[in-house]
Formats: sequence, C-alpha cells, structure tokens
Amino acid sequence: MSLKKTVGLKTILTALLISFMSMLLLGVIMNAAYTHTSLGYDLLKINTISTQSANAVTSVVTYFRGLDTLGEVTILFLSIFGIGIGIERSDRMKTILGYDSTLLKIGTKVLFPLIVLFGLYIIAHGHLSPGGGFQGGVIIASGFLLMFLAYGDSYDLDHKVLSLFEALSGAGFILVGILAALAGGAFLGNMLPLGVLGKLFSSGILPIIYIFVGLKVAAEITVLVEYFIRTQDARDA
Amino acid sequence: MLETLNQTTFLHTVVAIGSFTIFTIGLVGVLSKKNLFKIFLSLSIVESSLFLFFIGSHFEVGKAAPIVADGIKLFDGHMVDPVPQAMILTTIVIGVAVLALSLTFVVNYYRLSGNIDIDKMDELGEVQ
Amino acid sequence: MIGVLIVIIFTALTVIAFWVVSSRDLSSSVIYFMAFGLGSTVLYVLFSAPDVALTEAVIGAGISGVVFLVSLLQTQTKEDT
Repeated sequence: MSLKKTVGLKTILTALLISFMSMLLLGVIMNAAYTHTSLGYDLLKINTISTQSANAVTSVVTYFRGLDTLGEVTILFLSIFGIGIGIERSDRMKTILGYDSTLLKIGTKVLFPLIVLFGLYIIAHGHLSPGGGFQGGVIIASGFLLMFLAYGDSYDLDHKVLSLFEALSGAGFILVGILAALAGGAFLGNMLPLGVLGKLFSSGILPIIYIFVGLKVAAEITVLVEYFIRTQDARDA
Repeated sequence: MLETLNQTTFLHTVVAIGSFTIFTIGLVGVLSKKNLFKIFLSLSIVESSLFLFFIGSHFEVGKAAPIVADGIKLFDGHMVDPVPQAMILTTIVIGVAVLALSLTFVVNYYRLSGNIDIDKMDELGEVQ
Repeated sequence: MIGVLIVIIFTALTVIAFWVVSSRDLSSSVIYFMAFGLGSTVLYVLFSAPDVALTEAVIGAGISGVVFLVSLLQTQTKEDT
C-alpha cells in the first residue's frame, strides 16, 4: 500500500489549509495584549460585600450569572430528554460492560456510600472550598456507575424516585428565584442574611441554589449512564 | 534559561500554540475520517482544546486560585479571573450530555441501517 | 518550574491527541481520549483552576469514556480502512 493510498491527497490538502488558517489565527492572538481591567477583577472587588462567599467561582456561577446557570441546566434536561426518546426501551434489555466478580461486589458495597457522601460534602461546601453542585453531582453519578458495573442486572434503580428528585430540584431552583424576586426585588437576588465569611451557614442564597443544581445534575447524569449501560444490543435487532 | 520559561507572556504563547495544534489535529480528524465514532472523538478533542485555551489565556504566573484559603485573606488583584472558570465549568458538564445525545443518534442509525461509514450512507437514493 | 511543567504536558497532550485521531482500533482511541482528559486535569490544576479540574477529572477521564465505550461495544470496534 503506497503512501498516497494510505493518507490520500484530500487529507494532505486539508491539513495544509487548516495549518495555514491556524497560523493566521495565531498571529491575531499573539498580537493581542492582555488587559488587566477586566470584568473578573471588578467582580472580585465587590465579591466580599455582596456575597460573603469564600469561593469566587461559586459566586459567579450562582449569583452574578445565575440566569445563565438556569439556562444551562435547561440544556442539560433537554439533552437527557432527547436521549430518553431516542433510545429504544424493551424487555430484552441487559447490562453490557458488566463483570461478575465477588470481590468487586463486596468492595463496591463498601465504597458506594463513601462516594455518595463525598459528593454531598462537595455540594454542601461549594461556597467554602473548591467544588460545588456540578462537581459533586457528577461524583455521585460516578458512584452509581460503579454500582451498575459491579452488580449488572441485579441492581434495580427506582425511576420514580429519580424523576421526583429531578423534577423537584428543577422546580426548586425556579421557586427560589421567584421567592427572591418577591422578597428582594430581583430574580435570583439575595434575600437571606449574608453571615460571616468562612462559616457553613453563610452567603445567603448561594448554597441553596447550588444544592438544587447538584441534585439536578446527579439525577440527570445517573439517568444518562443508566440509559447507555443498560440497553438492548444493537447487533441483535 | 528557566527564568524565561516562567514569564507570563511566554506561557500565553505556549498556550496559544499548543491549543491551536490540538485544534488542528482534531479538525483534520473531523474532516478526513470516515467512521462516525472517530468523527465525534475528534470533535471532543476540538472542544477540549478550546477549554484549555480559554482557561490558559487568562492565567498569570504567581496568581492564586480565586478562593480564600489559609494564606490569602481577601479578594484582590492577586487572583486569577473567575469568570472564564465559571463558564468552562458548566460547559464541560453540558458537553458530555450533548455528546451522549449525538452518540444515541449514531447507535440508532446503526440499528436501522447496519453501517456507521459515512461513505456508504445511501438512504436518500444517491448512488456513488 | 511551572513553565517547564506546562510545556511538557502540552507536548504530551499534542502527541496523545494525534494518537486518538490516527489509531485504527476504536477502543484504544477511546482509552487515549481518557488519557487526554487526565492530562488536561493536571493542566487545569497548574492554571490555578481547581473547580474546573474537579469537573474534568470525573467527566473527561470517567463518564465520557464509559459513554463512548458502551456505544462502541454495541456496534463495531474496528475502523474500516
């Protein structure tokens, strides 16, 4: 097989074109100067008086740009909704990628509560340390993934509880926003006392919103993994 | 020698060149590969390179993470910009959900037609 | 010191990205992709973004790889040349 058969003329031309375009973009970017007076610096300056949160990323996600987070959670919900419509559900579903090992089952039974506890800790301390709703939610979902891998078909997940969590946390997010609008005058504004920086019960509305986001993300990613890992084999159809 | 490597301007150049190299590799994969899985893998590489560029171009040497810890008592200009981190943080979680949606389409297409090669797609009646 | 680490990890990530795109076996492509997620996690820590690093550690090196592998096992694991 010659080199032309392996790579192809079109591939080489495409690579040359893209390299040329990348060089042009690179020139633009390397000539742009970095400016220190940006939005983030202003937000850092008013962070202490407006939120009392020790983690500035958390205040940006849940307070300064809370409406964006609502939109992103909606996109997440719509993607999982599309996956639920797209994947065929039938009685012949079985877990692929499952392992039948006693050692794995016993180890998973010990590890699973610890992983879920760690995820809940990450969610609840989102305004004090690195972490928050998105990170803790995916950690909890990875614990459920471990259970699917170890137990296979014998692990039953209650879909009603999952749907309840998903719906209640999504509705709770919007409800908190509307309550804040009624009490404080702005949607997703702050209506609770701010407290002292560094304490668990501080920074007002931020931990409540992040707990709702965390439960929502955990439920959605768990449903995603369950749809993917427990399905009917496409080659049997 | 090692002092020049630690300057912020040099590291911004490294981030720009590295991210665009990874971007180019992924884009060549998207445009030249025939398998649908390989196309979506290359698309994920492109996505990751953009995340790296976004975070890396707002990093400066000697600045801490935007979190109050033991040694750092108040928020000021000695911290990196928190806004790109907050945006990328949510985008990573959204990205895996949208990727899973596209993989659902791929699996359903395989179930209906039996191939995932884009050169053999002839459902619209076009003969190669 | 941090400059040397960033240069080394960026070089390694470029090589891993090339392996992801050029590998013939699709399942080893997915494994290279998970290694890419692990490398970018280290890079996010060096860029002083620990929140993003926590997310990428779970998503990039865990869940997205499993999603790819499971849908790969249902169809075919070799790329036709």
